[in-house]
Amino acid sequence: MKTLLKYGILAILLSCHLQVSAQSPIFGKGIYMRFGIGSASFYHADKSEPLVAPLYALPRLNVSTSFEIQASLGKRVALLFQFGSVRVRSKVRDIWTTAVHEAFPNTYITTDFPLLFPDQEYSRYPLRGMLGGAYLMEYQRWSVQLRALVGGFSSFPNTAYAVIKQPDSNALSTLSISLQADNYDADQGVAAFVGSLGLLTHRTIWRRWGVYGKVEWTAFRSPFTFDYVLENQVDGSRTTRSYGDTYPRMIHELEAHVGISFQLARFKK
Amino acid sequence: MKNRYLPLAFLSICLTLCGFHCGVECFTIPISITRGEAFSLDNRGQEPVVLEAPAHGFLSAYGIQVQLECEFAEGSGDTWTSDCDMLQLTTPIRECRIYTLLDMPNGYAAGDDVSALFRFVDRNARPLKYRPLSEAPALIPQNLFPDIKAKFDFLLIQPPSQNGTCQFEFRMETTDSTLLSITTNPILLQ
Repeated sequence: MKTLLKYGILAILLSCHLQVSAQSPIFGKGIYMRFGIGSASFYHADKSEPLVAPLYALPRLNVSTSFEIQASLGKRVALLFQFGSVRVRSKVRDIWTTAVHEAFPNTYITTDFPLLFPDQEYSRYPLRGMLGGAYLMEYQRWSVQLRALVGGFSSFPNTAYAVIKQPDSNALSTLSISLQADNYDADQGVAAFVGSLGLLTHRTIWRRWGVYGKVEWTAFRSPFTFDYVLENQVDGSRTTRSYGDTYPRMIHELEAHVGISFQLARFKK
Repeated sequence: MKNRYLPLAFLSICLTLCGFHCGVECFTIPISITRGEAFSLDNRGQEPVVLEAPAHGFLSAYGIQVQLECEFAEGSGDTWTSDCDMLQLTTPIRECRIYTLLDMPNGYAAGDDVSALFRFVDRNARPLKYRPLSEAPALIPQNLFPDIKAKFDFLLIQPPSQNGTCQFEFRMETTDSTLLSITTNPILLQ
C-alpha cells in the first residue's frame, strides 16, 4: 500500500510536470520574496518525562512565520533562502510547576527559571535558517515546487530549579534540571543542523503578486541534554540522572503555511 | 569655509564625551556591622515566621534568624559619590558559631558548641542551599546596606528528641577579633 502510494504520488507529479512544461508565461528567471504564516507541530518521543519535556518548549501546535527569497535560475530550478521562527505556545512556568507538584505531592514548591525574565512565561522563539533548492513545475498562473533545504535550527530550552519543602519540618530538597548542551549560548540558544523537504503551490493573482501554500517536513537531531539533580539539603544525599542519551534523539517538525509572494525582479532572457 | 569649523566641532565633541566618561570615579565605601538581634523561627510553613516571645517552638521546624545592622565606617563620609560605588565590610566575618545556653535533652550541656546541629541559609541566594556554619562567613555578602537589616537563618536540623526549653547564643567574630554575641529568648520546643 505504501509503495503504491509512493509511486502514485510520483506518477502524479511527473504527469503534472509533463503537462506544464510546454509554456510558462507568468514565471521565469527572477527573484521572488515570500512571507507566510501557519502552524508548526513538533513530534518527539520525550513527552513521557514530565519534568524534562516542558523545558524543551517544543510542544504540538504553535504559530510559526517564515520569510524566504527564491532565485529562479530557469524554468525548472531555483535557489532558496528561508528564515523562520516558531512562537512557542507552552507556558513553561505553569506547566513545569504543575509537573513538580505532581512529582512531589504534599510539599511546598517554589520554582525558579534563571534563563527567563521574571515576567516572562513563554520560552523564547526557536529560529531556523536554511538554504536549498527547488524543482519548479509551472503552468500559466500556477507553480508547484518540490524543495529540499538544509540549515540550522536554534532553540532556547530552559534550566529550572525547585525548592521542595516538607510541611512541619526543616526538611528541604532542591531540584535542578539544567541544560548541559555543549554548544549552548545564552543569546543564540542551542543549535542543531536541520534538513527539510517540502511542497509549495503558488498562484499569481495580480501582476507580480501571488499567494502560496506550502507544507514542509523538517527533522533535526535533538541537541538537548539535561542533568537532573535532587539534593536533600539536610543530609546532603543526591539523586542524579541524565536525560538525553537514553532518549530517542530525532525531533520532527511539520509546518503548513499560507502567505503572499512578490516578484522582486525578473532577469532578462 | 564650513570645513574650517569641522576640526573644532570634532574636538568639542571629543572633550565633551571625555568629560562625561572620565569624570566618573568609583570608590569603595567602608561599612561595619554595629549590632545584631536573634529571633526564634517557626519553619513549619513554606516560609519561616519569627516567633513572638510567649509562643512555643517546634522541634522539627525550629530555627534562629540573625538580623545584622551596618553603618558607614568612620571616615567614610557617609555619602555616595556615584552609582558605581561599592560597599564593603571593613573587617570581614571570620567565624560564626552557635552555643546552647541551657542543658539540652540530647546530651549537650549549657555552654557547648552546637553549631553542628544547625545549617546556615541565605534566602536571597539562588539556588537555595543549606550550608554548614563553617561556610557562613564566606557566604554572607560583604556589601551589606547600612540602615537595612540583613537577615540570615540558622535552622536546627538535628533537634532534641524530647521537649524542653532552649536558649541559644550566636557568636560572630570578625577578622580583627571583634566579637558580636547575640542571644535568643528562652523558648519551649515541643
